[in-house]
Amino acid sequence: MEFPVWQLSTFGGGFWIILIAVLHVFVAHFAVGGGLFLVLTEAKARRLGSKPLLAYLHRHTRFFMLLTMVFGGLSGVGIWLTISLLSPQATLFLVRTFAWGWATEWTFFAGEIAALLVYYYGFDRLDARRHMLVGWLYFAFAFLSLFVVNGIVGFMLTPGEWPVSQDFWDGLFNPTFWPGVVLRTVLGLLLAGLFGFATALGIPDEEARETMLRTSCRWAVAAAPLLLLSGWWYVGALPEPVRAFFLRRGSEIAAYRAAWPALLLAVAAGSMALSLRLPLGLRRVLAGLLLLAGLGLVGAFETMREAARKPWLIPGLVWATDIRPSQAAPYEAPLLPRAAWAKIKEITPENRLAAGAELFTLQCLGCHSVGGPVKDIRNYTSQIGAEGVEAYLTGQGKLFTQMPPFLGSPDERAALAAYVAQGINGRYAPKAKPVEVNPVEVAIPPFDLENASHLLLAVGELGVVAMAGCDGSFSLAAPGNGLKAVLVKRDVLPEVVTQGATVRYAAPDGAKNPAAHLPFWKYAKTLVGKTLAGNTSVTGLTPDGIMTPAGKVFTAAGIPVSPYADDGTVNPYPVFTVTAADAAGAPLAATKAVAAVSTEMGCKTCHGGSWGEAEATGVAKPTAEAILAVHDKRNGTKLAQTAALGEPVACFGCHTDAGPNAAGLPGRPELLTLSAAVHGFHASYMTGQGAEACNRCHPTAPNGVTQAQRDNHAAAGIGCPRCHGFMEDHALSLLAHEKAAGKAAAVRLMTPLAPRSVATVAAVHPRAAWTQLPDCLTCHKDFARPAKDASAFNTWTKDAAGLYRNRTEATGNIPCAACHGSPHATFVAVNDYGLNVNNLAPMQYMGAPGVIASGKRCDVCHTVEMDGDSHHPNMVK
Amino acid sequence: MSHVLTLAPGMAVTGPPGLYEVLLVAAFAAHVLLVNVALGCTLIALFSPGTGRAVAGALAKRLPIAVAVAVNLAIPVLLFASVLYGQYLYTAAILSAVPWLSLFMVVMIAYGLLYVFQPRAARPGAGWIAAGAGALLLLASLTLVNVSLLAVRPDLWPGAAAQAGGTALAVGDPTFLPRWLHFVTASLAVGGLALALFSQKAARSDAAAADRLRLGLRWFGGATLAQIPVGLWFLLSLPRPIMERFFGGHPVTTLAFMLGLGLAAAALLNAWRGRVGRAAFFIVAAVGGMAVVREQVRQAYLAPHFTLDALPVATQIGPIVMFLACLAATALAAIWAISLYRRAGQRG
Repeated sequence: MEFPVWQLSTFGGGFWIILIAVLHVFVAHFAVGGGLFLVLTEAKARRLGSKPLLAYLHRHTRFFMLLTMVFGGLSGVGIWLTISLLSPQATLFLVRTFAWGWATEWTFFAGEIAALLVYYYGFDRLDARRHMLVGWLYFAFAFLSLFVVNGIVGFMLTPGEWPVSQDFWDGLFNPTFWPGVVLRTVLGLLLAGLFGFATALGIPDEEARETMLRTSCRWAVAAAPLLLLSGWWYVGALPEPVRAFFLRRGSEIAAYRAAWPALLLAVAAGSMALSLRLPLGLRRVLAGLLLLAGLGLVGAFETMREAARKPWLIPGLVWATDIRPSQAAPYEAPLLPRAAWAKIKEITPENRLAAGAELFTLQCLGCHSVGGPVKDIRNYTSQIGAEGVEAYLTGQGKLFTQMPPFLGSPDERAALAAYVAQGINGRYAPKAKPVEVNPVEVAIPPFDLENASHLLLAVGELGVVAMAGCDGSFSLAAPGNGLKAVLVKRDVLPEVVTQGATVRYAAPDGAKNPAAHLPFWKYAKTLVGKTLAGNTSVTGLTPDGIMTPAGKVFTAAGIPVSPYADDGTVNPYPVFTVTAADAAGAPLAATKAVAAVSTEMGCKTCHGGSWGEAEATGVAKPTAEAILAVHDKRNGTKLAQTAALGEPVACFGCHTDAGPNAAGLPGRPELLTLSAAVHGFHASYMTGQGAEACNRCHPTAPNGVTQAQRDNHAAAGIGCPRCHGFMEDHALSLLAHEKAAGKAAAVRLMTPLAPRSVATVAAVHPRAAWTQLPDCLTCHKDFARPAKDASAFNTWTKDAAGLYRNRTEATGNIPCAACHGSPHATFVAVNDYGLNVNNLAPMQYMGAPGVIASGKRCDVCHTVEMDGDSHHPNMVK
Repeated sequence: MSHVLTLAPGMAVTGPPGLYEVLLVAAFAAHVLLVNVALGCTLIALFSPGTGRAVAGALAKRLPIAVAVAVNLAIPVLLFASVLYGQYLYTAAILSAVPWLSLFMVVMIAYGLLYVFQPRAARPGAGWIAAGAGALLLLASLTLVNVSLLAVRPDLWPGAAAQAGGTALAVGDPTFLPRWLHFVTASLAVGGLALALFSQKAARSDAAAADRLRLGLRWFGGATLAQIPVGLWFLLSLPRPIMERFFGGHPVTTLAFMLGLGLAAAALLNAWRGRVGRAAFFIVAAVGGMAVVREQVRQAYLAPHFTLDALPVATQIGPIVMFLACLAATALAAIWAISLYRRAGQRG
């Protein structure tokens, strides 16, 4: 923030440091191991009295000197220059903290140069003993140089006690110091053997050549297992989260992790092959390949080490963005005014993209290139628009800490997201195209108020059942909804009929074949564990059928329904006909009810892809696959692979779901419930929002194809958060319940979340998904009109019996929903599908929308006007 | 733009700034002397082919060593300058990132070319190799002058920041050219003196070596005389308040400057009298004096924004002792190894 940023795009993301550092480390380790190789080879040559060997060693020393001093020395300086350009803050930190360590290392480097020059130029000038002493001196300096640098490099991964003590020695002799020294020394020995092959192949004398090749082989083969062991020791010395990343969690380093032992094996095998008397040409190729393998070992190790310390350059002290947490607090405050070199300080509509570019430079360029070989930002973001990028930025660094948190205000976050989506990926938000909604034409059944003997009230069990519609990849809910009906024998004192009557339901034409539109039935065996006949639900129901008497009502739980009609249109509101007949089959009453279902889940916003159906609904296959891939990456599952093999997974098969569309599967009780897992995970990415957060995944968007939130609350401007809490509150309430059940994952998901409707996390009341929901009576005290700012959040029904959809009025005869309508569709319900379809019962029985019997229309059931509040208090009002 | 350092873990200087300053000046003097030798000798080898390219041959074997030591001595300079002035040095480096990052590659190629030149110096076509190395070393010097200037001119930064691609140059600064010429002229002088030194021993019995000695002293004398107008130009191009520090405005600067001039004059006199060793002694001392002047000029430039007193300090003695002990031990070991080499040569 205090330094300007070098504007790299293609070669951003640390390209230069990777290139220069890996090559330098390769040569610098050779400079250590190769030093020992020099003196031990000289000792051998002198012991054997071999002039060809000594001549070889002289030549090898020149090569060694040129490589280590010219390339090694200068590339070491190059690393300094590079890191001061790319991470000046961190470099200044290291320079100041370890100034005397660096200075000490410099003295050893100076000693190396002096000793190596004397060793080379004195090859034929010094006597053997003194010459070898100088060689040993070189090796000692080279090793000491590694000794010190290893401490400082180790500090950048494991600062140990330093952050507390700020003591130089604590920083230098940090937790990975000793394993690092051993690992790097052994790596140097291995490289000495590999370089030995390369130069020994040039020895003209065959005997000397074979001797040196065998010697080199011994160096490489002996070092390989030691390297593996010291690598293991090194990893063991890492703090637990870093070790977990190294060994398991770091999916981005999986290839390197696997490559390391494979390369070591290849080096050992190749080295042994080189000691065989193969043709020289072939051996030269092999020697070249072995050097590349050595470079691969160095590169893989350094890459893993770099990845393991993300999001930090120095753990806890300097982020990979070269910003210190102490500089950045408070994280949500605007960043641009605080960034010394930012040209734009305040965001306006005109400079929004330019401001986004500044923020990209400040917070992204350190790790991400644009179109380059290192962490190209396009690879991560090109599939999503600004909204999706913004969600990622919101959640960044919260649950997955490979990246630091986004720093800046919501406006800045939006500007950065817009820049990434538009400025970099060229993804401009498509012009808002109104979703095509085909109003449902419905003939209201007749009702003879004077003469009708019976009255049938029927409602959908849920206001809408939300599903993903991508059952070929995963299933979020078994497709379908339930109907509930109550048959009333009209009279001054009416009676609920439960005996001697049969109630039937029938799907409308065009909705009798949901299996033709949803892949659920094709994959039913793997999804819910049993083969289902087409259009038959897990509960055995079909689109037409008989409802089951249950107490005072008749139910049909789990009628298979699809939001896609046979004519190709999207219709989340198929209108079912419900009829009641007496024992003889004579009709008693008939009505209509909606069993609403929707696949309108906007996963695509953040997971890429587009709508699956009609450009308005459904999770498309690419989106679903991307979701599975993320689940696999973060949880170590193989869902994408099994889905690709034709065995998709039901989310509720593992994550317990007490909802009516979980096919009765028990799930795995040790895992979070489906609702807690999904809300808990996504809440970190959707903080600070209102009902729009809900609308992204639920089919409740007012401009969506479903418009499921259609009740009188919506008309009054009361959005989801007033009852359920904001996304953070809602997630916390579900997670708190899981936490109380001892599930550790809940704690992890809760950690980044702060409640918005109450002051503290402890003040959020836990609730079980599906069985504990907001209670209507929290706001509607005594069934009266609530206060203007009333909120139902944080007071939950005790259990499922207390749910609105399960409750009855005071006499225990009539379900609340029978008169008031389905949840989220209470009368007067309004959306673009038309007044009739949303208010079927009132339109049929009262000729106007409204709660059944409202406006003193007690005659609907009682045949006469009544007084009193026999169903619930305040009902006359 | 705030230039105040925020005190936070890792931001404190871990030793007395004065000690860093002394070490910085000493390391810079040693570094620049070796750089002078490397560049000056490379240019002299290029410009003085002579009969059988004897001068080139005599110099070539020492050039890579001079570069190696010069590069090594650049490390403490970069280190101590970063400790004290990192905020400024790194900012300048970032603004001029492209040449700055290419610096080590340029020097690496020059260094490699000098190794290529080493066994071929006496051959007729080898001049091109030395020319390549010399050009690259000159390019490196331009890069360093550029960043050093940018680092003390925060007033240039806003304009330079427009070059977001890292190509900002300070060539518009009036001191740029004289500062660079001052360095190149000094390199030719020190390079000449180095040639004389290298030839001194053999000159007692070898007429060709005696010629090289005289040639070296001529380069030294000529370049040092040329330094008078160049140095004057450099001095006059400095901002007036800084220039006045050389003439009583700032006692340390004035003293070091006068001492440097006097020592350089003493070196010149000794060179004219053929006393190569003494001339070398005085020139080393003169460069030391001028290194102090350079440090004072840097601080004068930065004074409106930053002084060393502003640095947060958290001294820890143990690491300083470690450094000093290792420096002494390494110096002893290096001297021992070099003396082994020299004694073996004498015996041989």
